Amino acid sequence: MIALQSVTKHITDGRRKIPILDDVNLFIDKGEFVSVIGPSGSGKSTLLNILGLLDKPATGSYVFAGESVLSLSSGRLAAFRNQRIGFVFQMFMLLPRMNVLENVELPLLYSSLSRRERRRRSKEALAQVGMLEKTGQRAIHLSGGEKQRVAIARALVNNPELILADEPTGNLDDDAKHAILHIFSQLRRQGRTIVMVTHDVESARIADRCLRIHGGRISAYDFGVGSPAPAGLAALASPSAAASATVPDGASDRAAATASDGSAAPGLTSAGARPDDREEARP
Amino acid sequence: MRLARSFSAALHSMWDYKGRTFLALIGMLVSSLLLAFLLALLHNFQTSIEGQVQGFGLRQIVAMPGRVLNRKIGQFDLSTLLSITTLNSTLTYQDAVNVKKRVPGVVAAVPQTEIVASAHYGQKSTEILYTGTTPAFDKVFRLTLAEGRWLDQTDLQKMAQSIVLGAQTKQALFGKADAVGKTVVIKGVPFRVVGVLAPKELIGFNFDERAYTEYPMVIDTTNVRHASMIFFTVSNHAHVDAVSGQIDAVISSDHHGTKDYMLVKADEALHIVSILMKLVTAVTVGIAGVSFLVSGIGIMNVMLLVVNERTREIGLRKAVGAKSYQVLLQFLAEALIISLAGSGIGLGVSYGLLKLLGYYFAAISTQMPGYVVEYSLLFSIITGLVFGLAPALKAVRVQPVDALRYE
Ligand SMILES: Nc1ncnc2c1ncn2[C@@H]1O[C@H](COP(=O)(O)OP(=O)(O)OP(=O)(O)O)[C@@H](O)[C@H]1O
Ligand SMILES: [Mg+2]
Repeated sequence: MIALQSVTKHITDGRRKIPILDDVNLFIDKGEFVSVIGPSGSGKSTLLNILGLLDKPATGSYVFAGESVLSLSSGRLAAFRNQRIGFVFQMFMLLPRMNVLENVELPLLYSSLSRRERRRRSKEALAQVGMLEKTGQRAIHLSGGEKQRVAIARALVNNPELILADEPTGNLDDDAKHAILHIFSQLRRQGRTIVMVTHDVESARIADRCLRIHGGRISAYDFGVGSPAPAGLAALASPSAAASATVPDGASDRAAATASDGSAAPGLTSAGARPDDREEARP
Repeated sequence: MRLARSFSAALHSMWDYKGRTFLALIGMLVSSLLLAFLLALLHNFQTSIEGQVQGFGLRQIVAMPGRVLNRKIGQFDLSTLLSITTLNSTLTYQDAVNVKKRVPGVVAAVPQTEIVASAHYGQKSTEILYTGTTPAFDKVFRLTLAEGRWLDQTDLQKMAQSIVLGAQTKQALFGKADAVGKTVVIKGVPFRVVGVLAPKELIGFNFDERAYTEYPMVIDTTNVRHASMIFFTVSNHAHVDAVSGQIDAVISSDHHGTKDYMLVKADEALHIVSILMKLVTAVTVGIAGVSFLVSGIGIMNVMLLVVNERTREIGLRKAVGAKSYQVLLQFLAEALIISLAGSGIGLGVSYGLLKLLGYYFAAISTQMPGYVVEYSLLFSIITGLVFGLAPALKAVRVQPVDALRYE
């Protein structure tokens, strides 16, 4: 699904070049849920922006669903973002004066869907995050957790192949955090490909595998042997527990089944890193 | 469909910036008001004048003192108009008589002479233009009488001391009472009032403050010796130019070749009016153009501010898939809506003003010609597009990554 090879990115401060990403290689399979953990300023958002076709690396290649996307025109990139990627931005990025429904509908305004269809899909996405009752409310009046759920609904509304989430649990209290993580585990069970950036170890745990970004380089993250998941998160993180919880559709059962049987995860025959790999594979 | 969405997005965000949108709109409103109102006023003024000149008759030629030096009469343009040299009149009653006698195409030759004098009736007196003319005068101007009759041939032959009062003269001396049959004293001569004119408006002429009597009476009772104007009526409009040449030949030979008068045809008068109108219209459009420029800059400023403040929103829209042209359209649409709305309201207000003006000055017609509306809308659309372009391009250049980082 995603193959990032030898990607570097730096910023120029006067004459000095400050590296942000240094020779990053990343392979993510369809249906995988990958979390990226790292300290503030380590380049997590930069990586996600590159994955989300919002930013371009200085060097390297990026193949998205078999297509080399770095050479695409800005119009084609916009279409890619519009139809194939759902982005949950850091700090919500809702339009404060618009209501919840309008915020969620925003990406569809740039599609060719009819107004009715746009409304239907927006409501569907809001239902998925449990925000259907607040469609008419202005974004500015929502709580942090509610804002994040609306932001997730907006990322889902175009039914994307890839969901990118930048700190979706940042600045939220425990209850709100758990609600958000619950949504992500549901999405995982629907078979979506997800990359979630966080600096919160507990949140990172619910993914199939976790990567660490440090000093511009990526490596597999080790949670430490025997460190138990906190009680509330255990249910979310453990696929077997998740399978018995909510979401009664067939897709989730299948996803849960493959996830519990680690080796049967879809598409893992590629050069992509496995959850248990110590180092990110390099070709 | 896409365009409709751009417009609805534009409307939405304009509502969020009501105050500024309103200010930008005011500028446009004023510009449009200025242009539409002044152009409509000029248009109505011109049609009124043309109507009156045509009412006066296209078969008229007027001889009047004054000359355009070293230039052929008949080739009027603005500079000739400005170089008319005024002279004391040398036109005479005899000129009128000679032209009538020798030029067959002339059906009426009516001299007019006048001097300021006071008219007395009992205790009342008023300043008037004591005017001498001939009985055919009322045919030339198609005068309507409010009372009595116009001067006739017997008055002229018998020097009957008959007089016809203009509407205002009558009002000043008699108020609402009848004037016919009463005696008015001018220059110490008692005149019997035989008629009163209905009020008449003809731009450039004054009928209401006069008292008309036989031409020789005025010459006999004052030191005026010359006609101020001679009005000629030509039998056929098509022959006006030829007849004008013949009249010129007759008068100039009687004046021993001295050209100290000019002949003005109704067509020419219209031509002069239209030249003046073109000049004034050009000035008006110029002023309005400057005003549109200023309001365009106003729109640009407001839109640049709005784009600045909405960098995050623009970045977000682009991040979720808005293409450059869609962002461009949204902001162009916004500038266009501001300018069109301002212009629309401006047109409405100028229409209202025009009607108001018509209410107070009944003589001026109050049409809002279609071309004025078209011009205003066209100006505002162009202004909106031209000055909306820079902010819209600025919006297009917003990079989603930078905008999302924006706090
Ligand atoms: N446009 C830019 N201008 C200046 N510095 C930048 C720019 N983009 C990124 N950086 C720098 O690059 C580094 C990585 O930024 P990035 O936003 O990717 O970090 P992050 O891991 O997402 O941090 P956080 O957890 O605080 O969100 C930071 O030091 C940041 O200051
Ligand atoms: Mg970040």
